Amino acid sequence: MAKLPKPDELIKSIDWTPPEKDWMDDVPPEIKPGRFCYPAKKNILEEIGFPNPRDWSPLDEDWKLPSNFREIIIEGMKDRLSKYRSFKLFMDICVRCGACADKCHYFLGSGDPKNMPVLRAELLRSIYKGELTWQGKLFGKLAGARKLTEDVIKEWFYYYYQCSECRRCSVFCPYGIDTCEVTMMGRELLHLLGCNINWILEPVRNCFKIGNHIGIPPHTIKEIIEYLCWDIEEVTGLKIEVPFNKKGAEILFVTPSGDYFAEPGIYTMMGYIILFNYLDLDWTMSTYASEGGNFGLFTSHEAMAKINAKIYHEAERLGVRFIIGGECGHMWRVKHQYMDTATGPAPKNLETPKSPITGTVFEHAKSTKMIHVCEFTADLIAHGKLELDPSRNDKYIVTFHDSCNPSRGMGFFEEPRYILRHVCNNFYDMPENTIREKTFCCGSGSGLNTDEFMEMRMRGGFPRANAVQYVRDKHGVNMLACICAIDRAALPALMNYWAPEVQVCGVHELVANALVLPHEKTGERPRTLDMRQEPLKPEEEENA
Amino acid sequence: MTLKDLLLDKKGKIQKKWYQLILETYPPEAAAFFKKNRDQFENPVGAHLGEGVEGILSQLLGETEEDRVKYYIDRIVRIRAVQDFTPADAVRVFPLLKRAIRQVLGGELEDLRLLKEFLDLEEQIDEITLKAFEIYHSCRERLYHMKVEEWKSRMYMLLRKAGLLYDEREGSLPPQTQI
Repeated sequence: MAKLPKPDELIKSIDWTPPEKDWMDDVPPEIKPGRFCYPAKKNILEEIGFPNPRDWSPLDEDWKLPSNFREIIIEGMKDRLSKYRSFKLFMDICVRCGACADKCHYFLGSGDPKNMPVLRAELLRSIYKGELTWQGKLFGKLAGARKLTEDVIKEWFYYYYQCSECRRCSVFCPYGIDTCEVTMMGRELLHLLGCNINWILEPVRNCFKIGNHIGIPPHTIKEIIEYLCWDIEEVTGLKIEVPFNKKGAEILFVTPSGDYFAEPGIYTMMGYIILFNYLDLDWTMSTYASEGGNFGLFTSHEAMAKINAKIYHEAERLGVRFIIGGECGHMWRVKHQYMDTATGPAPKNLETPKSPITGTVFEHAKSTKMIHVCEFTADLIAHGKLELDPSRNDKYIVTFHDSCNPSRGMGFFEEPRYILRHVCNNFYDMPENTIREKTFCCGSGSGLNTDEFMEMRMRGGFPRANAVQYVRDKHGVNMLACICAIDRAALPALMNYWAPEVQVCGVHELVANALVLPHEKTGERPRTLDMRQEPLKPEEEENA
Repeated sequence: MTLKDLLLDKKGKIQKKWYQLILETYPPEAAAFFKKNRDQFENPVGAHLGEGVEGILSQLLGETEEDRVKYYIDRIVRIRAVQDFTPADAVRVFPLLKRAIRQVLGGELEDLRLLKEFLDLEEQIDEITLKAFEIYHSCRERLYHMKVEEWKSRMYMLLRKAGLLYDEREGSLPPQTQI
């Protein structure tokens, strides 16, 4: 039994000195470069019809808020309190037990108390109390209430864009308060004043106009993927053509644009293409629904629904039977939690997904008609439909980063691990309190993976990197696999800073490395290169 | 008694004091947490600071043969290089070791026979501070390097298409774009 402290020890341990300053008086925060993201450009806000477009910087004294900003926020808050019962509950029921206080990676890495989830939520809660409840109006600070000022808006902007909406804190809350949703509300309210960031809103604009975050037009998407097909030919000897906008295909495949545009995402994309070709699937990509990611989720429920709608539109236009979604984090939060209600019901031509190879019916996707590529692949492996040579990945000692959204947003733990155990021989999980539902965020989620925010990202990602360092030192891990495009974009920098020997990949990159293609079986053209066009077995190369 | 014996004798106290002085550079709520939680995964900052503090002291007192002082400095400085500190405040933790030693040993340091040894020790700590500055600088340089690399990765296919990639992933520029 643990040793209990004696009463006198307990008394001695109490620090009676009051804090120098109450947190409420400590506004506005000291805003420094490296710790905030650049604000949204004027023309972007104009194009998407968001309020108060203007040129401004968080470093300015005057943020050019509308003169009636108090009324705007209070009305906005009332509106959301009446619409979302969860928001009302989260404002009312917190007992400040502190269970969440030390669970946020930004707090763990920075030590800034306002990054404690409880305090971050209190930034909003105190205004709710001070402006909208009689207790707060009567007792003020005593009731944890304060009045809305311009400094409070600055504080909100600073801290609601220092939360990656990862929901680790909510796992530990005995009341189930989802602080992520408080952040979402905080950001929605800030939009009403035009205080938002370009890294999120420009992709939103691009999605509205063109269909993907980066704003790649259809012919360029096709060209880029053709490039990847040349790489595939280089690696496997196979000439593959990816079907685009093919009417009547069985499956529509939607993946984040990072997978076909950014490195190392492209290797995962090559993985999907090789796999689908191996299975001879009747599939298609769409140059309009060319983005699985949805930065609308980090903006407002309206923006999220609008961006998501294109997937169903295309599924209907092309007349497919069901949809497979690629490896992406927040995309899957949208699909799993909001697709049904925000953009559903699914078009009538869609059916409950049924694997054309194994016959497995994915009942859980009966309503959305969309399944995760990892569950599709795991099912193939379970039915022995893939011939795999895990030794092809022997140069990698792999660990798996549970991306926040698939893990906490949809309980997706086993499928990617099951695949990894079949496609590589060396797989080691990180310590228990840093994976699965307790996974640590990459520090760059929810649209914060921009370069001007690098310092905060390194702080926020430190708990994750620390666990990677542990398996690197203990098992020699040199590859961090993940199923999220933001992870694939952000983790290489995080590893570069904290654990430089560790590379980052998607699960399907390793699948494609291990997949034994029919012509390889005959010895016609044995595989010597991996998806990165590096030798599969570097030691043999050296000896040769 | 030599200074080294004295220091070895009071190593635990010095270590505790030094750690405490470092924690005081953080907001009190954070300091309390860094101190309290002993889990190396749930409290990585506390764990890395603690490991660095203990390691550097052991190295100074010659408790181990292996020279790992750079590793231990790195454990502390890499974190502080991205936290809310000015460059001076980030490496100030090492001069704080001097303060910790003086506070713990107190009057015992007035013994003139220890003076030479004491000056040597302070010089060693200065040396550690300078090494820390070097590591701090390399961390900051790396951050800027990463920003550039990240942009290249993000625009990888575009750069490749335009024939403008020049790094280890590509080998070399095509002849027409060579400058």
